[in-house]
Amino acid sequence: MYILKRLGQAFVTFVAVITVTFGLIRAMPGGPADYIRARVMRNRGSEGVSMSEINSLTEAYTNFDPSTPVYVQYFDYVTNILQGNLGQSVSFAGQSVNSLIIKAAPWTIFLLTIAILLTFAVGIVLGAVMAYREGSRFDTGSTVLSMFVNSVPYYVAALLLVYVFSIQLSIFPQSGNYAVGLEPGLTPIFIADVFYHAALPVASLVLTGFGGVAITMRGNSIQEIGEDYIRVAHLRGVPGRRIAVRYVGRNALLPMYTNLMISVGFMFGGSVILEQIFAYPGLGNYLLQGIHARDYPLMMGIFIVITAAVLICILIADLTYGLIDPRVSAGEGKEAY
Amino acid sequence: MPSHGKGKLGKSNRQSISRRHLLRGAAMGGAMAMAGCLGGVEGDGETFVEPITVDPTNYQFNHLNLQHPFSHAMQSDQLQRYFINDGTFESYAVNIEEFEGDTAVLKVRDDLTWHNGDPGDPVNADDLYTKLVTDAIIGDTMSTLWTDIQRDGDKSVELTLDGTINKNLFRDGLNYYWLETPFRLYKDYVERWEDATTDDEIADIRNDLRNDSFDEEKVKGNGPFQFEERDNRHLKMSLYEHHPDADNINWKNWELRKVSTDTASVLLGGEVDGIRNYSAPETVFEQAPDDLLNAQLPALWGHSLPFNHEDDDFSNIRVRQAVSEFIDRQACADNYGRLGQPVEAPSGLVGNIDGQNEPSNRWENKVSDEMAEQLYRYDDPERGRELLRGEGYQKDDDTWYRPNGDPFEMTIKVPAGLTDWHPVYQTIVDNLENEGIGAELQRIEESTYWADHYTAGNYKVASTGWTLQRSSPYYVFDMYYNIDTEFMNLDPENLEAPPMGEPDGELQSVDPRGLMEELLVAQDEEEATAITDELAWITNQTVPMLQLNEINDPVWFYTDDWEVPDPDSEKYQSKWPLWWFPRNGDMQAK
Repeated sequence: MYILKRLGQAFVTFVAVITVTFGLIRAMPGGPADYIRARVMRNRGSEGVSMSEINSLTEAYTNFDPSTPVYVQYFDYVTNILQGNLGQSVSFAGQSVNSLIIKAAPWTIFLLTIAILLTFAVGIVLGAVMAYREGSRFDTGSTVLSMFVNSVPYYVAALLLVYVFSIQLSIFPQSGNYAVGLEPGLTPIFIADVFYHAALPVASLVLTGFGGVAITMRGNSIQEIGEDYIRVAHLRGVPGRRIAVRYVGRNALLPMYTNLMISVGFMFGGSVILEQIFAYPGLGNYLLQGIHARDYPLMMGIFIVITAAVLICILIADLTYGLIDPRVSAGEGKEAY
Repeated sequence: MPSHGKGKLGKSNRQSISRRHLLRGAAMGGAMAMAGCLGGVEGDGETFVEPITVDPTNYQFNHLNLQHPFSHAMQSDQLQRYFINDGTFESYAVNIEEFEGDTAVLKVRDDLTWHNGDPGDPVNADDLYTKLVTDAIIGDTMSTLWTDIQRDGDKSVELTLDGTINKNLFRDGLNYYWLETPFRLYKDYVERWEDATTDDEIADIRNDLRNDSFDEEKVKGNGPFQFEERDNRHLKMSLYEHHPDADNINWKNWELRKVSTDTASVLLGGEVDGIRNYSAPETVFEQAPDDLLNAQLPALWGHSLPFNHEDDDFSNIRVRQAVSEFIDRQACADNYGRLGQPVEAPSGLVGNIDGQNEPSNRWENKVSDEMAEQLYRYDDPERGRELLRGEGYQKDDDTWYRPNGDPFEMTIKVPAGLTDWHPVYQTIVDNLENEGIGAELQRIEESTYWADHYTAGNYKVASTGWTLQRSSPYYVFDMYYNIDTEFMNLDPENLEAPPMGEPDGELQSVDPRGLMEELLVAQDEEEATAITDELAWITNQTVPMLQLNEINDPVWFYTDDWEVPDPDSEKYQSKWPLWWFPRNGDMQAK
């Protein structure tokens, strides 16, 4: 029953998000044709487009009928989505939104998964150590460092990393997801190369993300360390390592589990600029192109994928929360957010 | 064969080479490169790498469909070459065999073949016919110059011109044309056009043509490089050895590589071997390594300040003139950066900058000496004040007021994304503010700007280029008095200007469109100059848009692996060196 309730809530959220984004995107100034007009105007004279054609031309590139009422467009759209059809891209001739997303999503998911796992792993370990050494120089220094890196925008870090490690030191590639000329496949060389190309984008997210996690973990841990049950555990002679890992660590981690899932949504949003900087062929890259080109179907398709990803992650968090916190299973509360 | 480059290679260059090659190694896949699994593939003189910012797998191969089209200048040949510095033309894929009366015969270059065999089919009259017919379907420049077209033997096409068209205008019209329309691919459209009798039918064909997309397997070019393969990182073309100029090329591949949109980093990072045209920020010029060569050529383009001719203030010719007097075009050009020069006499005449970024007087060659002297310079703020006062404007406490008592102020609309434009228009804001005219810059998202502001005529003053990147004044006048009239709310049928040589004389009716019709068919050079004089004067006085500057386009080459002419060579003065150098043997892999 609980699962059904949560699934129902997720579905309602999903439809609400589709509705709101549909409205917001349609409220954007301009339309798909305006992008082509802008491009022609920018390069006017050299692009094989008659200026007298400029106005009629723009109508040729709109694959929905602007005279159809918006509510009809909306109904058609939702119906198609529920059938798994995200429509036809306006700016990528002859390509469906589904095919573009299938092409791009694996790269974004790969990049974000590595980045999120590393961010949380580094942040949690550092935060725990900081808590146990509360007040030490290490704690003070790490707190300052964590706050500093947490306040650096990831795209600034990305540009800095490109400048240092790519332009100046030539250690890492500046762009792309794998080497030109390399045959994609599950070969060690290809896999190694994919990780190698992901190094700088991942580092940009991890370096600017772990600080926040560490500070949160530190706070949670310090709070747990001060609890009575920890004192009792010490008095009972429970080994310190066991207290740190099983008692403090586990309880301090609980609130962060939900954060981990919610951060997926933030990371997807962040991938837009990151993928642009590194010419990484993921969803963010296509989303930006879709926005530039006023490609409504493509924009909507990617928004929906991001929404679905966040909803699924939160749903997973909800449904699995009981596994890491037995109190929830015992009926003390079920929702992770 | 140019020897440039070798002499310039010093110690720092060698360091740069190793750094760039190291980077290439990184780009190729560090894990593999470090393990020695790869090597000798790039940077070894076999592949020229050029940047693109789109995923090559998203290309479609109908270049007339503007949605992600693939069409590359090395894959197909340009009809002719135009030398900006001396205004001469050189035939390339097509030669003008005959140009007499109202007939022009164009012939395809011998030995030019499609990439569909070894060698492929010859490029013939059908293909050239297809090029010109598809051009008519989309209504581009050349199609406005002829009324009938016939195949003339295997290799030639005969055009019946729209009167006795001026040959220079005809030749200028042929610029920016590539022979990339094989008849076998566009046959249906050509036949539909032949059968079409109404404009609506042509519009339907155009709509279908603009939306069609072709598979890569079907599309074959005729240039020195042929399509090989593509994935999401690159598109590779290989040397087509049957091209007439293939012997001038000593490397095997031409690669388009997807890179970051941060072009400055891409260029400085050595990810590519050259860039056709990149207006880089000053920092790139300063940080460029020794082996990164840049040269310039006139863009045949510059920034302008278009007026809304239905605006309460700017519908008045004297107000447009007055504001033009207050704007410091030299400062506009200086603030654009190192690659701009001011327009000396705003009158629609291209040629105010040379390939070395110095002022040029090429524009004077387009009018008579007398007119070059007479064209008004707009550099006298005092006259501007007199003109405003004459129209009922008043200056009190350093602020100008309109005849109705409101402050005289304006918003200059600019596309937000085109940040290199902003200093030019910010200069105008400063000039006007200093004069006591309220001015501000409004940055508008680019697509919205063009669609809802400039082309909608929704502005008081705005920003745009003042040419269609062609050298002949005719095409500039065509922009002002035919194409952009709707955008500027300008009515050329009811235009008034002072008499020639008398800027302050009484306004009288002028007919720029009538003069343009005469110019188009003026066979005699003297007659053409006289008509151009009149049109230049009208433009100079009516100021449809104030032409501010003319800029240069910079081209970039890495000389560690490639040998190209010295930057001051005249060979750069033709769009684009990156396309012409390989064909002419002016670019060699080291």
